[in-house]
Amino acid sequence: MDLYDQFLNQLIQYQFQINKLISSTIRGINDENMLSSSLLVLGIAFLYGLIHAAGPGHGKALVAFYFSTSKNKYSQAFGLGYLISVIHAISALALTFGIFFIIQSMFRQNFNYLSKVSMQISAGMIILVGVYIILSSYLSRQQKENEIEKEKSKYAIAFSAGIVPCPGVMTIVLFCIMLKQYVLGVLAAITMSIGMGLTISLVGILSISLNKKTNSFFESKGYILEIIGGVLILALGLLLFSINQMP
Amino acid sequence: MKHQIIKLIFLITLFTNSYSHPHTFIEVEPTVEINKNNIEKLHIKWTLDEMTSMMLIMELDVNADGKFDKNENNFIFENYFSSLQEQNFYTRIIIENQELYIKPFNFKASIEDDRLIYAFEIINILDIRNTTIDFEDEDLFVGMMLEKEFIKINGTQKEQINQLKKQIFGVN
Repeated sequence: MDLYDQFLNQLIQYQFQINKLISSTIRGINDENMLSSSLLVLGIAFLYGLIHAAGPGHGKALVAFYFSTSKNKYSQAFGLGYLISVIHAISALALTFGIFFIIQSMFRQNFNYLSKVSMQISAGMIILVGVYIILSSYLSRQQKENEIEKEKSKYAIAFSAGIVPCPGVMTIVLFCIMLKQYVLGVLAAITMSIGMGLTISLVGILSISLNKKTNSFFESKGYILEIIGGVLILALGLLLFSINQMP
Repeated sequence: MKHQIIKLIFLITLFTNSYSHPHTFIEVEPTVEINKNNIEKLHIKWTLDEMTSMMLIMELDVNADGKFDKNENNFIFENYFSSLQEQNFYTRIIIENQELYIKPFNFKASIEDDRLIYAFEIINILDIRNTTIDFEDEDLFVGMMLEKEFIKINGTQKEQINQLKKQIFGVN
């Protein structure tokens, strides 16, 4: 078993333990321990988000491709990481409450179907973002950096990565809904997303740091790196689209 | 140049076949029936995690009586379990370097302590000297949890059990 597999196995083990802990804690909430148990659930949800996002995910890949191929500040990595996780959480909450209260039956089948549809939408948007970055980097190769255009592509990246609702968040929210812990469900989704946002941001910071060390190579031809980033993002979108084909 | 290489490796590792992480966890309890040097039957029990179980029980126990009747069992088999054929039922049996196509028998869904249980059997004659068994979801959407103590081996001497668990399932 190679190092990467060992790392993934360890992550799965941690998530399994946290998953058990979070469900038993939510189930054990009663009038007497309401506050302490709820706070414990939120703490565990944060940790769950932190570890959950450390596994393979398209959000991190997108952030890494973007930040390792264009000039950015560390604070921008936090901004983008948290924007993705906020959209991720809103999308998960809307879909869970929507399916549960509107469709009500066949939750799991709708859940899987809608997750797949949102993944395809996300893949389509990632492809467009890739094309946009390639074209805008090529067309503005003679100009100085255009901040407005970069901001636009950042929002597009955050939206395309975040629109896929996290099934992990949805499962916890649904579990809370079924136990009539509605507020706790929403708060757990938020804290889990804060944890995920931190992990995604750290990947962004690592990418910026690597980029700073390698930038001198492309000092006068920064647009080439940006085009490479666009190509990587485009390839990621195509890969996600092929993985999530409807049967 | 060193940093360029690190960056390249970092970016390549982000291209994987799976862009998900487990959201459902299944505890796998295999029971192996051995006769002489062959595995004659594998009985597999899956226990789904509490959150996923609750969600599925709500949906699948239509009459909400806390158990699955024959119709409910058939519905689960046809609509939920059979589709796992695409993932070879998360079971990788390698015999003489060839992966075995799984055909499960005697599927039964049940509820124990609010957990959803799937049980099924794999009936094949497998030479234990050339067989390895592993449980995994290549897409990483499901975490298959196997512990040494979950494995039961019948039909062999007690002293051999630990060695067989390691040899067949790779657990220490």
